[in-house]
Amino acid sequence: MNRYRVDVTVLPKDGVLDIQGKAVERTLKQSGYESVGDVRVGRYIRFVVEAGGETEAANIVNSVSDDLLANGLIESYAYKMEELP
Amino acid sequence: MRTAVVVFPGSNCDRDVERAILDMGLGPVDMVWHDEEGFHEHNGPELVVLPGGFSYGDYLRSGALAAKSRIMKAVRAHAEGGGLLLGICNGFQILTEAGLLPGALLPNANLRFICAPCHIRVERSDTPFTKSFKDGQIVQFPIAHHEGLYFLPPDELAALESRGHVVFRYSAPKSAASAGAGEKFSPNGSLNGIAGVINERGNVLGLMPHPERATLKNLIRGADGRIFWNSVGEHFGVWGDKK
Repeated sequence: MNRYRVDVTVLPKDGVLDIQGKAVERTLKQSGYESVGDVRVGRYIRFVVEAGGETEAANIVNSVSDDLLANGLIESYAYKMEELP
Repeated sequence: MRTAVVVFPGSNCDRDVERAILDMGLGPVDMVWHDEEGFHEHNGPELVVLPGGFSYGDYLRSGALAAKSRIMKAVRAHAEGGGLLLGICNGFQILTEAGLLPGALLPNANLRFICAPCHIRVERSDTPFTKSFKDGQIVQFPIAHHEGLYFLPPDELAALESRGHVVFRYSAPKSAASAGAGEKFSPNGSLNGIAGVINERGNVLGLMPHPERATLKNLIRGADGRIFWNSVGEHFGVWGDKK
């Protein structure tokens, strides 16, 4: 079995009202960061998965994300995976 | 009428629901811990209530972890068998996360926790939960939530409306009923002013306002929740206030 460290990022989908993102963006602009826009606030989840190989690990990560970490109606996710020594 | 109220870690309206149903004379009420395999045999429930609160501290997303609780298998089977299933506030969030009702509850548009009386219009009086109301009746149930903005993508929202699945809508108070109901009355930014929805079969209802907090007379202002519980009682042939 190999061990993989997984970092999942969950963000509100385009078109879904992101009130937190808007509030952060407004504050940034008020603070003088006028070049910053399209702020989205999401979640970052890190875990370790044991699997026979990268494909199996990826399947588990997708399954975990679809099943619980992200709500597909309002959120999308992306992940990075790194094999641990 | 036999009722089961599911208690999750962080539920805080479970006892309020029990008290309301007992005060209405619609008991017995059985409290069921979320980690149980199923409902108690001596009390196969006719009504299952997922109460308000902050199950699992609202970690991840409101209702997301509770939707995976062990008891939810039995809750789902109860609904699939045609039993009545009611989710109030956090219970509504759990029902959407479990896929038992469509949509999602997003953070309130003003990013604040809102605890206030609110007016809602009854859009359908032909459901087991609303048959004692009049169509279009405006009632007052309190709300207390941070994630109550009902969201569906535009196409699905239109489909929900055309199928008549919206049961409660935020509205102007009774004294200004001609002003109507809808999004401009949403205290939380809820799309189309949606406060409560029902499934196609008509046995699973979720709503953000709290009927159980408007049930005991002379406790806080208003007791319109009694009409809600009377409806459910009437559905099962027990009469609550009307007996």
